[in-house]
Amino acid sequence: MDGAGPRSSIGSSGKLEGVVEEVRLNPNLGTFAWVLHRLTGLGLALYLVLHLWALGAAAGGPAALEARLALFETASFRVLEVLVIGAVAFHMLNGVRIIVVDFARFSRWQKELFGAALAISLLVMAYTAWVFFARIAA
Amino acid sequence: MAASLESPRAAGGDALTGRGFLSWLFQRISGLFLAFFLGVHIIGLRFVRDARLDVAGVVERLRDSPEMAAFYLAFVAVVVAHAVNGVWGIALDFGPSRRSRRVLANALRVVGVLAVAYGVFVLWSLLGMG
Repeated sequence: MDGAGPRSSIGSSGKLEGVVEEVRLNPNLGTFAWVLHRLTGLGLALYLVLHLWALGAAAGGPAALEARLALFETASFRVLEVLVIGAVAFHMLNGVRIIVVDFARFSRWQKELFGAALAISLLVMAYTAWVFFARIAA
Repeated sequence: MAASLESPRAAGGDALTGRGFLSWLFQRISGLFLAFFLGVHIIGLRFVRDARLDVAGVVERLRDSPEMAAFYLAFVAVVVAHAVNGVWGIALDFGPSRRSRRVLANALRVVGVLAVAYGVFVLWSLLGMG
């Protein structure tokens, strides 16, 4: 099926409306997990670009790298870093949840597993915030 | 509810992996690797040895162990492949035309190769800094 044929995605008009329709028709925990997994995934892909760019200053020697990294030593970047750690933790734990549901027939417990993934991610975020902001205050 | 009538194989049948199944399987296998890699990367940087997070400390650790450089070489390749394949999977949910899929698949291949090459360049620069 190509683009000239009938739209094959979810909903009537396809594209973004189809994804929005999926969320509207199926407002369950699993759908929320699916959305959150994609949003954290996209966020982490963007973070990866920024991370590589920041370290790319290494080509200019230690001083250049220190200067580049100093750009991120602000309170707002600390907040973003806490979000990155939270996104990593959630994407990792929810990814493991997806794998065990796919391969180990754990679908009966998918909601509980999502709850565990979310709860542990929030704990990791809280710990990270505590470490980061204690370091700034010190 | 009008669910997708197109099989995953048909949706990915002409692009990137050649089969939607391989894209799906790769994401799971690479995800497991990354759970390990990222654990070592994040937790390791905080707790390993003297845990110095300044440039000198990181460069010293990297230079002292070839296995750590090899670790990061594998890490950057797997993480970029997982990211590119993930974006591909998200894009497929929007029901792109065959032409869009081909353009996107080629764009993602180029981005992926460039990102890995840049990661190797970064690693090389860090190793040469000591």
